[in-house]
Amino acid sequence: MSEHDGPRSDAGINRELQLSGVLSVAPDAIIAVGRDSKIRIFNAGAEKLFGYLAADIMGQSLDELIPARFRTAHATHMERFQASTEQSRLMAERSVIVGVRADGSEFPAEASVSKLEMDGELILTVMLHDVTARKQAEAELIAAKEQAEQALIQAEKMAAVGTLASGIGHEINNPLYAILGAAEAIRDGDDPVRRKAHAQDIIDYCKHVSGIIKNLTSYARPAERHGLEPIDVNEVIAEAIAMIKLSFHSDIMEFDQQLNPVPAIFAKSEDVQQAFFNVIRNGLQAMGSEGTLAIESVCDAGRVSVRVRDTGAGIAPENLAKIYDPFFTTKGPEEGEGIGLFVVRQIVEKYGGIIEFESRVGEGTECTISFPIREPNGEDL
Amino acid sequence: MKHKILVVEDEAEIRKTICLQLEGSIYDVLEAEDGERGIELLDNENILEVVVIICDVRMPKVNGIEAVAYFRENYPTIPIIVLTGYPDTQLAIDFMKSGVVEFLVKPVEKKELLEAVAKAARQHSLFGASPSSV
Repeated sequence: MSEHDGPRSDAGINRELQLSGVLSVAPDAIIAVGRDSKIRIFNAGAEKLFGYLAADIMGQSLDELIPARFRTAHATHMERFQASTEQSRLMAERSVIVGVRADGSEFPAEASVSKLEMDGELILTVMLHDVTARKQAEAELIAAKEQAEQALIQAEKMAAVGTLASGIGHEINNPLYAILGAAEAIRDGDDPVRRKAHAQDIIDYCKHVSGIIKNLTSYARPAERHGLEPIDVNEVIAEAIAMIKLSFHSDIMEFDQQLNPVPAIFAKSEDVQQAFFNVIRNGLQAMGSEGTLAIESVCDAGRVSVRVRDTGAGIAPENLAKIYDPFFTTKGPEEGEGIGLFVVRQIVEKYGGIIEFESRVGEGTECTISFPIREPNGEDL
Repeated sequence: MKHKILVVEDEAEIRKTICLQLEGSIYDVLEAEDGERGIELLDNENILEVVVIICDVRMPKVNGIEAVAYFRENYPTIPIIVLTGYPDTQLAIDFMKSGVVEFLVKPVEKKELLEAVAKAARQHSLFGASPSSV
């Protein structure tokens, strides 16, 4: 359209648009309705998207294209827009609206609406862009991300099992050696009293080994077998410490435990145990060869909080923001892959919990994990 | 002069077992519950009497690697047997390079331990005045 053509009426423009085929070639659905919500324009894009022929839907209410449950809200939306001074707006910003096809199936779409006077009548024009494919891609991306996170959590668990296996090997090896020595003494000795004492030692060591295996079996239970259950974090911490002692034949295993009676939280105990295991292990690793690890549990403002405080090297401020990043680590390769805290945060947040770190370089680090005293769906106990 | 073996081991049950396995040998056993105590005992002992050191690796305070380094530097004539629950090839190589006589992995049979002690004691006798048999 050139300047010398001069101004034209809206009706003229509309006719021109139709004539020029703009409406028919537009890939998006373009639907125009009057103040009475009756459909006046239904282009080829709309026919394709909704599965109606223009001839069949023209003159019918726009409601035909909207799922029943959204009609009232939609009508209010349109009325407000008609009354407003805005000429156009994006509908449902940052989200999508839902359309319904001729066959009753629904689809997500991005919509924008504009108004114009045409032959003295207010016409609302809606442009719809089908985002089914994008939504599907987004859903697939989210699923893939979740899958990758699960794989990381599993990898972390397996790494912990590796360390655990080595620790358990040591823990069982010691009584085995003692059993061997006692059996040799029975074989080689002839004092009946001493032989009896050695036999008793063998029995005691066997019981000790059996206790270790029992402990391990309870730790290794697959999580799938358990739903959410009320758990006492103090018990879980005690189990985590027992597993730590098996995993790390550490020279400095001093724990200052202030475990106060706390209400139950709802979670999977193996998840929470894995979280505390990782945090306690980190604290011990941060201290190197000396220090005391303080563990405190309290009930405070409707939450169960556990504080794990080490007197280790601390975390440099520039690293504090990165501690949850997968594969971020300042430890040596033999001490972990850097996914421990990533896993801890996943677990804590899964149950509506909060994890926070405070650290001073050269003084140590305090990790606070708190869980709500209710089920994650919001129901109070 | 009574010959002695210094056993440096933090696990009480293992110390007891080693003593049991050495029972009936010609040696008295000096027991230390960690590397620091082992060094202290040896520093205060008539070193001519200590003919072999049996030393664990993972121990509190002063660990086996540090203790062995100290023993090698200050008492180079006393043969050392390292006894560990953590078999590690590189660790074994490092210990053997540092002059350790044997690197044994727990649990170790009495016969094996006595053979290692005999081998170590023979080595001791090459350098200083010491016993001829277990």
